[in-house]
Amino acid sequence: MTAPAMRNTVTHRLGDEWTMAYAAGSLSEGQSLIVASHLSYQDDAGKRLAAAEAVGGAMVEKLAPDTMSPDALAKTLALLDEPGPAPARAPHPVPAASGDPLPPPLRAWLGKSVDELPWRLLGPGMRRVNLWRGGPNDQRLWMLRAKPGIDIPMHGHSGTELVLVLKGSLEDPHGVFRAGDIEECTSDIVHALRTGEDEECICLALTEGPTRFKGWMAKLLQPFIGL
Amino acid sequence: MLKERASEIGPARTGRHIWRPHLRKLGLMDRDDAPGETAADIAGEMAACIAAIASHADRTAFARLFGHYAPRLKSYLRRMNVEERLAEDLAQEAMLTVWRKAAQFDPARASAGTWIFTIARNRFIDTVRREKRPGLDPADPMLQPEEVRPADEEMAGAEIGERVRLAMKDLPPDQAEVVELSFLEGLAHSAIAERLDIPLGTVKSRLRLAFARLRTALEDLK
Repeated sequence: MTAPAMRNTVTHRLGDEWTMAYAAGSLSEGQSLIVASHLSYQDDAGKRLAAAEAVGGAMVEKLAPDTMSPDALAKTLALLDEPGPAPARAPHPVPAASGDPLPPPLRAWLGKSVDELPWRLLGPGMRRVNLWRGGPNDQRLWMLRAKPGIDIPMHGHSGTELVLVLKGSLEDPHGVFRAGDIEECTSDIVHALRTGEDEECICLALTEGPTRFKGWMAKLLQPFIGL
Repeated sequence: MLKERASEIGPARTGRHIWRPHLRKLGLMDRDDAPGETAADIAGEMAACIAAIASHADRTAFARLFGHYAPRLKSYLRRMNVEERLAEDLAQEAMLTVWRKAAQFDPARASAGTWIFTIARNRFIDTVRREKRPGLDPADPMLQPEEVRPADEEMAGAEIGERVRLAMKDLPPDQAEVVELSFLEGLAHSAIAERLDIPLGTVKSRLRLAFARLRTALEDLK
């Protein structure tokens, strides 16, 4: 195999309706981050994104022009010689530490390596860190870090939820998910997961609230809901 | 209509009689204000304007770009539900960004219109939604071209833009509708499903079908 280890290994991909939504700008920040991270594992992502963004270009070209205020051009021309803003929040210069499993979009967004994150205990062998909350339907973006061979109990999902594996592997009845693979869980999926035996598993999850679980089960499963 | 000539080389346009009134209803019809100039001509001219700004800060080229794109960006932002005054400001700011970042425009990756669309989109996300938009990280060497581009790839962005434009014209109306709601109103898939009163899975499959057509149209491009 001559291909670089990280590339060409994605077997569970998101449908391209996500690429379209990412290009359209209709995803929330958290969704954009997980989709961009997933795309960054794929060789042809740049090309697919270019095609999707060209749709936006074609749309703008075809729109009937609106009326600008009469002095719009003059006002803009007057600003051309002003110095531009300092490059606003340039991507955090975080060199990839060897062995750091974070994909470039996530690393740039976090500005930290995986070991610098404030992990907290979630359950036996599992730690969690919350990264972002917002968007429609109370979305949460977080990461899970679990030891090898850990069982994640049966749980359900609220809305459309995404889990991107960054390191190690996760297995459920739908398959084995490795670095770069993503699982899209809709509200009708109820599953248990197990992390691979060889190494720890780190994944990025985007979940939506509120959960639809009711009754005593909910309380027991609360920490795992949305994974 | 001279503008339509270019599309005659494309695949057969089934359902066009349905599609055109549909476009008109959505306000998508071009005003044909430059008769004789095809969309491809305009795309080439606009790319040249950006190059002129990058090479010698050409204000005339900027004025030409502004005349073409600022009113369209304002239209786009209005469709994204931005109020009039802010849409005007954001369109101007986006054009100012075009001036400042002209040197970053890569005609091998995108047409002028596509690049300018991404600038306006990012401005919208930043200002209106007050969110960041994580990029794919162009600094990532994995996404960089591996070798020097052959000459015929120098303008690949314009070719992609033109083919996508033609493919969009031929989309069945139900696919065109979800694409428009996604790109021009910025609706999430679930919001599109609600608006059209169709299942979420149908929205997703229509978008996938639309994307598959684009891929087919671009298949033989490197």
